Amino acid sequence: MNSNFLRRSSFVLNVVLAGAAIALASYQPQRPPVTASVKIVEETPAATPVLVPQAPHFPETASASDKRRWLVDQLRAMGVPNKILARVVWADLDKGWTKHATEIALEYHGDPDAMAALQLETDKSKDAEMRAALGEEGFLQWDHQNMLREVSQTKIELTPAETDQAYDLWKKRQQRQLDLQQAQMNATMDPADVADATEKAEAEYAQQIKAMLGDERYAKLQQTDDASAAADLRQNVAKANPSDSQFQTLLKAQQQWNEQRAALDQQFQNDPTSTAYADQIKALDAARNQQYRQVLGDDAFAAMQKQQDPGYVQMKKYESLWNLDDNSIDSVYGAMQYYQKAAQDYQAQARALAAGGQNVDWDGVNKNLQTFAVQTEQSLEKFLGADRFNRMAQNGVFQIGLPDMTGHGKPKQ
Amino acid sequence: MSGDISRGLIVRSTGNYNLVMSSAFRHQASLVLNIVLTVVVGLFAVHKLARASAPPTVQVVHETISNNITPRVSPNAPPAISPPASRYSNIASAAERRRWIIDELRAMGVPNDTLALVARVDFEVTWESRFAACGVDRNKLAAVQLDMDLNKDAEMRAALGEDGFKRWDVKNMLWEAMSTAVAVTPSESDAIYASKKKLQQRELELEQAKVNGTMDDAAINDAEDKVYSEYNQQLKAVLGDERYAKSQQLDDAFSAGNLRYTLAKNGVNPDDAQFQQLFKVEQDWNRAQLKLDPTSPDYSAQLKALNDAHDQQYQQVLGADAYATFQKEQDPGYTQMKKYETLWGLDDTKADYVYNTMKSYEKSVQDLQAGTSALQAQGQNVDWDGVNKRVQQLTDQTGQTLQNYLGEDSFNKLQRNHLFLFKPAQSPR
Repeated sequence: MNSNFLRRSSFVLNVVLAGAAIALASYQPQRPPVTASVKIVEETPAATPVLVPQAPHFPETASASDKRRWLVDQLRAMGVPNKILARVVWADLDKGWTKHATEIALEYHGDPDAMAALQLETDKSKDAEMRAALGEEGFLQWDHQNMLREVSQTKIELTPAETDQAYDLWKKRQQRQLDLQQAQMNATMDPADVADATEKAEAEYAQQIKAMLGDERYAKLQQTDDASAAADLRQNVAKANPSDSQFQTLLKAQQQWNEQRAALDQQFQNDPTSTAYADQIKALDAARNQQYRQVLGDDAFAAMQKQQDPGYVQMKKYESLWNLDDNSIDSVYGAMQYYQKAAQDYQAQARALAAGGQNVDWDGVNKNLQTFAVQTEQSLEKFLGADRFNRMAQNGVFQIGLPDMTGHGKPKQ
Repeated sequence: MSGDISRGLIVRSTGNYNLVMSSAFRHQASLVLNIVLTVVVGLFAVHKLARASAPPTVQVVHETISNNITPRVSPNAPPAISPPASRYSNIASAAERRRWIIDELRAMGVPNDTLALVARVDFEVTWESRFAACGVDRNKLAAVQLDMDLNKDAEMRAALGEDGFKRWDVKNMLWEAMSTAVAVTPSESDAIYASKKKLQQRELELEQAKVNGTMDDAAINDAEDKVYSEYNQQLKAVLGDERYAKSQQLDDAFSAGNLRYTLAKNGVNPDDAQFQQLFKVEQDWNRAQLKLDPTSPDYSAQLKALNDAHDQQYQQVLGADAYATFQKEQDPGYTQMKKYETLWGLDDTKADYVYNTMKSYEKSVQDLQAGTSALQAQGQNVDWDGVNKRVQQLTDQTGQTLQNYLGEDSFNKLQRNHLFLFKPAQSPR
């Protein structure tokens, strides 16, 4: 071989080798699949390696609590929101509680003491069960939402710091309620003491929430703020369609009524069946209605009263079924209004006489009221015909018949 | 580096000579390149082929779960939570999403009851926004509730499949149909299921009529009574009298169990013969009560007569002492005193004293009022104000007696807990 041939051969070899090197460098061999990879979950040091491709399987022999936890883990891994997970857990717990309560009811023949003890036991276990199923973070997320629903009722926004503070107060109150129930069950506190302690705890809780929110936001929460009162009133008087100035006057009257009514409720809280309480409420209502009437005018006020009457609303709803028209509805409504007012006036007169020291024949009063009720029914039946009258009577349209009065002017128990 | 190559390069870079390399130098360089490329190709070949033919290996991956909510390790916990996480929110249709969850869980061996529970909850959650939009409007809430109830079966069927739905629904319907489960054959189960579904359908129709205002409340109540009566007849026809009674907890064994428990709880342990007599008294009393018409003007008097006869028979069977114990143990005031005995500074003697004093007071007031009513019924003029004054005197005397006996502190505690139910003075109609 001459040197020229050698040079050419070396050149060709270089070209071939360079091509081979490039081809090998870019070559990606086909790897067989890795049959097992081990993931060590660092969250729990004691966790054992789990084989990735092995599908999880329902732990049939596990405890109910472990099964719930397993289910939550699967659903969470699928991306199901915490809110739904909590509802699933709650539904599963509820199913278990119902089953257990049925067994206890059968075993103890529905004994109220046994059922109350079970209820308390269930109430006390709720948080722990929910926490076990959802994990700490999931539980807190769910429980904060419960608190916000109850405390803020979506009426006001809470800052994160307020949310945490409100949650602490709410949980303390919840725990106090459980403690008091337990104390009554164990007979370490009697029902009267428990009632007092509950009232005190509620008052403290309300004060703490109020201190946290400030007066204005607290009033909004309680719907005792001006805006809420105005919104309620606007809804009630919508049919009367008052002008702005009329509305402001009505609002003032309503706010006065609210304050006076609250004071009255407070005054008679220990004697809610008192005749004096009923009389004062009546007087308060009458004064407010008079103001309404002055502002709106007789016709608009009467129309508003009518729209708020349950009997009238019912007659309008079933107008076709009961073969009524606007005229007959108005006639029945008018007759019922007349009856109610006349009977109430008569009772008030009798009570006033008794209060004045006069001897009242209460049996006679009751007989007269009965006679008046019968007369009213008869006139309505005549007007409507037996068929329509009976049908409406079955549906409780005619609120006729007042409670018998006693020597103390109170309805009989 | 040294030798000819460097020399040649130096020659090129200096530029005073011809810039073309000598033939000898090019040849040497080509040979060197041959060697270098051969080595490179050899190394590549060894490395790539070795990887291609390597056996499967176990990879150890240290992984920290990072998710909003940290899952715990639980039996068969899914090893990786990230891959399908977006799947739920990516499925826009609630029904399809539900179906997907159920299929996934079913593949993991989750029992049908649990699948149904998940499906039901998910279904209910999808209605929440509609309920919330109703505010406190009861009519709107009733309409949405009806709409949800009307859709429930179809949605559950879509989620669980026909077989899963039927198994869940049959179990539910039979559970609802029987307060105490009794054994049924497959054909009986089918018949009960059919009756229950018919009842359910009719209830939905009546609710629809209520929401639409095409039937009034009284008509709906009548229709419901009729539907329930028919359903109970059907159930009775399927099960027969005995199993029907047991399933509705109307059988003698259930009633006898209740009576035995009540007696034992109230300190009475009758022998078998006594128990059978008491059980008969109880059954007769229940039947007689059902025959009374609550709208009758004499209802109260008739009921009192029945109760008196019942108590009289109990006393005859048990004897005066055991009957008195039974009465006392059933008295709510006495039970309260026993429960809070320590807190209220009582003992058995004091509790008995208070109980007997209150019973004596109640009897005196009842006798006084009954006697006065009898006089009035005979047409005599009755001074009700005088009667009321006498009742008030009895009340005051009894209160004073108890306060003296118990002491102020103990008396106040009992009073705060409403132990003294003094009767208000009143005139009978």
